[in-house]
Amino acid sequence: MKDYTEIVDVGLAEFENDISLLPALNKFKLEKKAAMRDRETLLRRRGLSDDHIIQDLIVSENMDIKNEFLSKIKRDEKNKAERRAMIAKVLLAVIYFMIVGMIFFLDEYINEDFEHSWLIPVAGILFFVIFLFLMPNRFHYGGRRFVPVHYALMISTALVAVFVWLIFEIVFRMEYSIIIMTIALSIIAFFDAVVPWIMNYRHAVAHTVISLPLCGAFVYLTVGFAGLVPWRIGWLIIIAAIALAIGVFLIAYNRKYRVSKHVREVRAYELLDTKEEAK
Amino acid sequence: MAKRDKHSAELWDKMHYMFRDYNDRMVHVVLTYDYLIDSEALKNTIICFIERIPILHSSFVFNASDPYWEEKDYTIEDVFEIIDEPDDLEEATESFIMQYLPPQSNVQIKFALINKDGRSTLCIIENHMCMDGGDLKSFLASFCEGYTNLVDEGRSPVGLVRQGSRSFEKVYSDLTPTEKRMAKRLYKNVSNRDKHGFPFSPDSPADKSFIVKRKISKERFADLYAAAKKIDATVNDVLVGTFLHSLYDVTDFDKSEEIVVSCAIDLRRYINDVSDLGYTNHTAYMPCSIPGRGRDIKESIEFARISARKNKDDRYMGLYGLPLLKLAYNIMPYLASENIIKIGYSNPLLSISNIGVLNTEKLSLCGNAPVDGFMTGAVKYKPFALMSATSLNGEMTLCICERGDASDRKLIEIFFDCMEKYFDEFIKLC
Repeated sequence: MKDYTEIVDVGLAEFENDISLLPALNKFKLEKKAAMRDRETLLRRRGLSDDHIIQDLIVSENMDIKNEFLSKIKRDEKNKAERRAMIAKVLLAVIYFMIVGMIFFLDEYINEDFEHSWLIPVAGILFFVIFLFLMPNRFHYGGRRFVPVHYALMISTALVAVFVWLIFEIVFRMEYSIIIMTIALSIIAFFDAVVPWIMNYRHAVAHTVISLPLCGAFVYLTVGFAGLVPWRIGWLIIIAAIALAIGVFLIAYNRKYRVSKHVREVRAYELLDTKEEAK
Repeated sequence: MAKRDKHSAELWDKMHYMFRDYNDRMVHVVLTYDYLIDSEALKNTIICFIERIPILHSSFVFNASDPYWEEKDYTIEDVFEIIDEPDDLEEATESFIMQYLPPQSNVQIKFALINKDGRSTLCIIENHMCMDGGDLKSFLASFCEGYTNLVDEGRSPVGLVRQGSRSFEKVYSDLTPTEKRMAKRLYKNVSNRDKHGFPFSPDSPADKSFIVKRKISKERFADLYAAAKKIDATVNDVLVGTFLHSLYDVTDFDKSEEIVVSCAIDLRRYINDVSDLGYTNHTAYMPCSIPGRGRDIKESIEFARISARKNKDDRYMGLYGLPLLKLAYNIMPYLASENIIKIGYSNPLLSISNIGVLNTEKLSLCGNAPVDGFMTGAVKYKPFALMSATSLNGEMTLCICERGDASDRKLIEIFFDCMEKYFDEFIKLC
């Protein structure tokens, strides 16, 4: 009994004539029908044996298939725009830090002292603050200026760390006071790697993949400056963090994109159908 | 439909979760039919309803900032069991309905079909976080209609399951704009802080959940109703007055001491049409009191009637405190708001829930009306106590579910004996 899949063809019939939507439409239909068959399997496994109830349940869950398809199209377009915005933001950040870094090195080369080394972390935090609060909405995460709680905590921690570091550097003239900064940045990076998972953020994987190696780098700097681990061995911490990040990414990717048995069957069947038609 | 695995926890869901310190959050239903229910059709109806109400197969995820419901997988064995020809029907029924479903369980409702001597007893336990007695009655009515349609005509019950918002703010939806504005400003904390309660024994690890029932026969109930009418009182007034009057007998309270009991109010009184709302909780409590023990039962009932009348004259009865709860949950993470609310909220030691009439026509299965049955609220932990009242086929069943020992059970039995005595006295006096 497979009548419920007809609702997919009937509900989306009006889009058949739009050539630009055909690839997305066919993919959507395949996935939808496979999902419906998965649903039937699930209902039967749960103990439901009445065919009419199964059909009615599946149909009732897919009454608004037309709007669902249109929402998916919009979402895909929005995701593409967000990805482009994200790439632009990353490039902007890289260019910004290259300019600030060049300014710093030029200053040190001309003046031959390192008393202005605090410029770089302050410039970075300033950039972060400007970026979050002053950029137009469309460049923000999901188009909203809303700053997630954990970002606010990260900024606050970084600002406090800078302030404490400046005190130890300028007032107490403590050697290797930079350790205060590296510890704070390790904590921030670790926080950013873990909190999105706990709070069920949408792009938790991206946060983890980026922040774990950063955390590894700051931990390496910390243990190096503190003299706990020799520099020539300590870089393995960064390698381990990168490996962990890759592992997390692979697990998340596998879970998201692992296709159901039905989708594989349907795609294989469709491929066969296409080959026969070509003959 | 986009597959939704997570559902937000509404205000009353969180409140009932908070009540885990005071009761076991289970609502219990027992219906007896004079025929054998088709277990296969029942199974299909159960799964259909559970699939259409995702909360019923979700687990409550405690999240420090914002808890939520997460849909879980289950099988029919998790939600339904059949017990054939038990040795003791009463014991089998009580054993099933006194079960506890943790909020982290993958299902929030369970059914049992107990067949004995050609009769079927349908038992249901459900997490109060999902729906209250009022919506459970509605659920049962749709459920029985769905079963009947499936067996008699082969029609699926999918369309009978109500879908819609579970938000508590739906109580404001049919108020006028002015009334809505006023109602949303009722920040007053109306917790009942009365310290009068049953003299239960101290808590002990040996305590067990039990249910004490007392049936009021059709004739006696009809007489009670007629007597109440003579003094312009309702059945609820009679229950409250008798409850409080009897309490003086089983305790050592001074006759001049005022006792307050919290009475459940169904806030659906403010909603014109519930057919497009989801199954949820819309119950609040109003304090009813008597200034002291009446000279006789009639006077106590009169005191209860006056107290209830004062509440009923209030246009916003039951709506107090809801905006305050909403504010607390909105401005703070859940963990903080729960602790703050506990400071300000006082769970009543005594409460009454008049669940009302169980309509036999609506609860019929293939034309077979239930011959017996009742619904009762959660098992309370000492020192709290709740008396539930339901009526079916003209008979009223009073229940108190408590977690205690044999002496606590005896105390409640004696209490019900007192109530029956005063019912008869009231009928004679009127």
